[in-house]
Amino acid sequence: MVSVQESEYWRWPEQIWVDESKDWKNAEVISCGIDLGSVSTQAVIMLDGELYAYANMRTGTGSVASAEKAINAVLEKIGDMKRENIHYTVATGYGRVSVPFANKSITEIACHGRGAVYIYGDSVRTVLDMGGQDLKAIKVDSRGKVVNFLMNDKCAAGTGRGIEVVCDLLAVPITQAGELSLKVDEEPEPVSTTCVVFAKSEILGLIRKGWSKEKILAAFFNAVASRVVELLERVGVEPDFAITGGISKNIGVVKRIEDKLGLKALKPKNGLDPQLAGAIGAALFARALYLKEQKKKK
Amino acid sequence: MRIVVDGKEIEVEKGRLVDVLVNSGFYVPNLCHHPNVSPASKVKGRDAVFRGKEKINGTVGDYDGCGLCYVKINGNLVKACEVDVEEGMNIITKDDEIERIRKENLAKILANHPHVCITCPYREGCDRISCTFGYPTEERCCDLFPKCELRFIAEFIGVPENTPKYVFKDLPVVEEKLYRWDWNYCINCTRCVRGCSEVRGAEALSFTVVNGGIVVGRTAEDEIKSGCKFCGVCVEICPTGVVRDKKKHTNKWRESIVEKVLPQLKKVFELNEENIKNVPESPGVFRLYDENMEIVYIKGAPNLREALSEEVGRAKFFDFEEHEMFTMRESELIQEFLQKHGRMPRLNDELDDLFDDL
Repeated sequence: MVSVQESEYWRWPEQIWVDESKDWKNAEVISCGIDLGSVSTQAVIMLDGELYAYANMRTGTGSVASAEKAINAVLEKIGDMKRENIHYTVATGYGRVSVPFANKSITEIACHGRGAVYIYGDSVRTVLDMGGQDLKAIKVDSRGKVVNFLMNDKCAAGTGRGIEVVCDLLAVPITQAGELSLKVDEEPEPVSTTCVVFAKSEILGLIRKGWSKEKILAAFFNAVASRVVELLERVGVEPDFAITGGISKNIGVVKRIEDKLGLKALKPKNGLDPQLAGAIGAALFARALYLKEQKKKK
Repeated sequence: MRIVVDGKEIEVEKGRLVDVLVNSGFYVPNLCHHPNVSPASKVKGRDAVFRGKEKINGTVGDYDGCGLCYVKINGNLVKACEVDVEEGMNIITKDDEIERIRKENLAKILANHPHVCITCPYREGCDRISCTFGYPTEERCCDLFPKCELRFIAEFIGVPENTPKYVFKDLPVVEEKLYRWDWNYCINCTRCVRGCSEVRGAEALSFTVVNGGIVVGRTAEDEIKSGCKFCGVCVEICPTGVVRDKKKHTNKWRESIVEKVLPQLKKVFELNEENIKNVPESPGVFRLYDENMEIVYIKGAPNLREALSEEVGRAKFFDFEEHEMFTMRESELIQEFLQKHGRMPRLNDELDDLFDDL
């Protein structure tokens, strides 16, 4: 008998948003940032350096198609804006060279630093980017300029993809996993490995042992947090501290990182989505690059 | 004065042979040598040293050196760190015999130092916190890996196939007020010993001969009693990660320690149209170097030849590697550079003025 999985629990909701209170026709510079990541793709439109609209989509199989999908989604949401209206586009993320409509590509290290300062304010000095397939600890100055950087892209432990796999295994919708993991009376021992492959078999063992979903999630997120804190300590955590990337929306992971560091992570200004950091940074660079070009022409 | 190196006649200033060769672009691997201090074999040890509270008894003796910098002068094997350059020397920096000796001596050093990371295919882009191959933490390299001198030299010479497996000995990890000593990483090169006495005039570090080998340690059971003057020269001069600052401090002694020239692990070409024609039209990462061989730019591109042809005139040399995941590889190489230099490569920083409008 063939069993069909009815729900894909890892699926996080795609989002498309526009600030209806603004009119793009009044803007001097319309800049666009595309962050083409391994798991998610964001397209951001900024008006004179202020966030105007964005789309946060899952990355599909084709990089070019994923970038097209995100920019089309955001333009459709805005309604009357066309690609020609955008003055400058900067692409970032692993797929940054696969964005045919971008004027320039910039490394995501620089974009995340810059975007984090926009989202969290200029007091941020240490940015932890918890991406789909890698972890990055970035130290920045008050302008968001990178002064140090440490990453791991060789191991998916503690990354977004790892959490997706676990949610699927436990049949817990990924948006609820963080909350659920906090509903334990006592924090269980962390799972012994955050390795996605090994954690999978360890978790199956825990399910057989009769552990609740809450408890397993707690044990897994506890391990993820420990692994991340180790990385942060390597680069040296200097307050203020902020988390970007999709996992920053997982309260279960964030709270455990805060507890282990003995330090609170900053809250985003105006409820901005920290998964947009890379794309916002790219759009801010796009604006600066456009202004620079205009200056040269004069 | 004029000398001949590997068949090429060159004009050089006087100095210790190893430094002269390295600074003239003929890299000779060398580990126990450091330009700020005298050769290893010139120093006498003591009958005992301390690693924390642990006293290590041995005999007074001397240390022969790492044995990696052998070259041939007029056909005779000589350690390049022990002689000064002389007019008319005819030097060979590399042949089968020299390479064999270097490998033999390197294997002995690596046997007592963690080295799985040096041979790992994933060594770049890894933070050494979790290991894909499951090696235990104590067998892995430390976080100084991106700038570790031993690692660069091992990669240059090539890790010998007969290198014994490293066995963790659980040596003392000593917490002092300013420094943390993890003696598990010590290769007993005595650079700290010579730095302590020759640069700062203290005698807080020494070595003793045990079973024909040497063991480096403090001259007393704690830093105060050993006469440590807290200059931090030992941190600056150590080629591995034995002694680390608990709180970074600086002073004139520390600043006087020059940065050692590390080997170029990849072949570098002059940046001109002729050389670029030989670059494949495939995805990969290239690096640009200035006339002093300092990396000034790191960039990944879907078409190496096309991307490089736009760079002519921006730098003096380049190297490249083919890599499917070139944007990721670019980040890895930038990470390595940042950790080594504490800043971005100069031309990667061209975005600097884009921050001005904040």
